Amino acid sequence: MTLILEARNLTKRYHDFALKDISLEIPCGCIVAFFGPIGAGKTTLMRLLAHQIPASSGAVQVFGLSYDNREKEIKNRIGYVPQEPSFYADRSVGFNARFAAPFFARWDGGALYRMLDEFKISRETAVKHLSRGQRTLLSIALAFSHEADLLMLDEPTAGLDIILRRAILERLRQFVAGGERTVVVASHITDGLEEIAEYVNFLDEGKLVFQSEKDELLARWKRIHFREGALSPDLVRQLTDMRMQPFGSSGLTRDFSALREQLAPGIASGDVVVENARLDEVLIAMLKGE
Amino acid sequence: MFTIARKTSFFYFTHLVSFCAPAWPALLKGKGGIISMLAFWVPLWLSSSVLWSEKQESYALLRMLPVTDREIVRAKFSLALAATFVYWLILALFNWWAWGSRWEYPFYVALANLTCAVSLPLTACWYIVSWRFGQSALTVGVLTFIVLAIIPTFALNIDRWDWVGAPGMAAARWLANGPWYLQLCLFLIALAAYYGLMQVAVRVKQKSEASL
Repeated sequence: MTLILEARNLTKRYHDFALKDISLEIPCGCIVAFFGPIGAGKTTLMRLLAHQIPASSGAVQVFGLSYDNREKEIKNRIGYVPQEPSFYADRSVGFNARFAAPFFARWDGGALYRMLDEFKISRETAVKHLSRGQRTLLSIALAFSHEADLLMLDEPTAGLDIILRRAILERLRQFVAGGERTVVVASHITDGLEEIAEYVNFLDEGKLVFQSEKDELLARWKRIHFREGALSPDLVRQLTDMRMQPFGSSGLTRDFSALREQLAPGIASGDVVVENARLDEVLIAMLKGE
Repeated sequence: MFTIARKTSFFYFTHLVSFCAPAWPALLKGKGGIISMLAFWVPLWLSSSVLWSEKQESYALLRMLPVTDREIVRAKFSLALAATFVYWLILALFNWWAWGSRWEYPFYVALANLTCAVSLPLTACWYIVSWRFGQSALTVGVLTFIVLAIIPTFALNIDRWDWVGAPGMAAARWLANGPWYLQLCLFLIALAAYYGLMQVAVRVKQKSEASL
């Protein structure tokens, strides 16, 4: 497995918040998602990984290179979309694009303007007159216009309507399709991302509480629907996130394989139905410490 | 680096034009003493150029681009140095125009050299303040400097065209009466200080998030 990004003991301390001792490895050719509640540290982590802010301690390597001595080389191959994209607000979209272009070794202005046309963003409009969603789209267009090998996006679909959100997620899926490029995305909502992400990370209170392959995670977490009396009280106690439903109840299990045998008779009789848990259900259950 | 300097140069240029504009009528009337006032524009002009260019700068955007903090600092400092040199040239030309090629008034040359030399480290300090403490601190610093240093100087000498004998000009008079290499030394010391402060600025820019 080729690693495209590696962080070791990454720590960032602010007076009221700290991102603590994050170590992670991101393989090449996939979409990696960081989820977590608001204030969990996702933006701080993304900014550290993209070298937007200095770390208090720890190290980041991207493409096997360190920002300490190869910053330009790395940033030439990264497309970073911050949560609050920043531009020369008084100047036009076109000015900002022309300003950014000479910095990149590889620049495809045609791709940029095609995306802006697709997003219906005029080149003449001053950035300060763009909505938050349009600024994000401009930032995404810039990230796509210099043939990056790694995209890092912080809440890229916030402020976008459902059509644009779908379009962006589809672009991300196509971006990694060849297996040589990678997307790292942070979001507090799973909407849409759960379909395209292959690896899932969960942050809470400045800590990386868990990392997993999405399919592996969803193979373990299942939602069990059952009629009243179909499961023993002991079995029911092992379920979390219990819900009353018209035909009975349902609950989540974090280890379906451990319950499989016990559930088999109920599944056979039709009194028990097992379905994949949704990623947001799993994350909420984890957040509650279940 | 050139792209950053070119964008920032807009502020230096527009401020230069606006600061020099009031001097033209006096010069056309042959009142060469206006050069002393122009010389005192240097720190004011550089400080206001730094202030306005920093207010308009988007360091968060620059951080996303393949450019290092060292290059950003070098671009800004090189531009300020070049701008100071251009202003010094303008002062020298005014001097030559007003007093003729004989340089009968070395006081004005010394005054121009002194203000340009002092302005260089001052400009460096403004950048460091901006990157370490943010634009609000820079605004307070520049305004305080203008209120405490520049306005009193102009207020004390408002009725003079010729500042040779004006109070507070002792350093310029001393330089003017000293050997020529004294002024060269002054410039070399200012350049050394400027270079040293540029190294400090690089470290400050790398470590601080105040300007982001």
